[in-house]
Amino acid sequence: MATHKAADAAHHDPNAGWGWLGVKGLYNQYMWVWLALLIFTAIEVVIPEPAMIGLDFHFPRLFVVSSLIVIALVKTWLVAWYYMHLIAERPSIILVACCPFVFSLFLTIGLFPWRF
Amino acid sequence: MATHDAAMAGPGPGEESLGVTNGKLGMWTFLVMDAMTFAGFLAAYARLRWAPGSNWPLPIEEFGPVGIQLTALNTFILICSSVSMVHVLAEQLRGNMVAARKWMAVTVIGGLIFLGIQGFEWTHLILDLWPFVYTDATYGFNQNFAATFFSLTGFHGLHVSVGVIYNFILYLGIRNGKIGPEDTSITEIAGLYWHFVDLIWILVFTFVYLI
Repeated sequence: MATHKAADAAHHDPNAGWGWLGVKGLYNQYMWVWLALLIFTAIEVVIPEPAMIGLDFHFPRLFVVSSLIVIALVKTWLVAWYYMHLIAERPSIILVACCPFVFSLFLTIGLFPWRF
Repeated sequence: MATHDAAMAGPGPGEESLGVTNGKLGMWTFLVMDAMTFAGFLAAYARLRWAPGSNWPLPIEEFGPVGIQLTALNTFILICSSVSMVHVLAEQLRGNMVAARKWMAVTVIGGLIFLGIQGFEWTHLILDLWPFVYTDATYGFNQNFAATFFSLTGFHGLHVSVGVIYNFILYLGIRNGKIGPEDTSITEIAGLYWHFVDLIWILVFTFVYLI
């Protein structure tokens, strides 16, 4: 019996646990995410310079900066969530992945020129 | 002896920690460390730019619409190579290693094109736009812009170069039959690195080229 258990353990496939296999379902999502990333990139390029598509005006600087940051964060989330499979990852890995964002938040708060 | 026993009690390279393979956990740990390094670079860029009287140029004016469009094309190529990388894993899960090998080739070529365009861009900037990089010439704006630009894009380019080599090794492994349909963990870990490179470029492109 003990030998049987040991044999089972030896043949245990660590990847059997990646329950997100879901990949067949994710397969279509890959292409939707790809399309979303391309559209967001096109919007990003136009926002600072609308003249690129023949528009004869400029967006306010505050709108340009804030909208570009929001779009970049959404694109980052799309890549991490779908392409890096955080969508189906264990909470421990999601927590590990969040560390740099917390670090960046502290950096931004600490370095922002609060006194203009 | 006790140390040896403790080491033997721990999970091996292909086994699990925190419910995932050690390889994946190792890659995530590395990526987190790497992301913090990039965060430091971006924070330095922001701090220098925010400094009072920094005379920082507006990137869209410095690079010009054509320069931004070229970099947008590069972003497009990197995103495409990212989607080709997920197709490698998807095809491997389906057991279709021939298709997986082809998608991996597409991923490698995408990375090479990205590096080629970046090399072209650097050459143009150094030789034509920013002569102070290699001569004593002075320029009207804060030269920290060029310094931080080359640091950020260069460090990212280094990551792309490593990723291309990494993916090419996997391509050879698939071609020679050393990586089979059951070795999904290897591809997934390589994919994590490659998508991370894409993710970082999204931020670099926004902060250095567009804002």
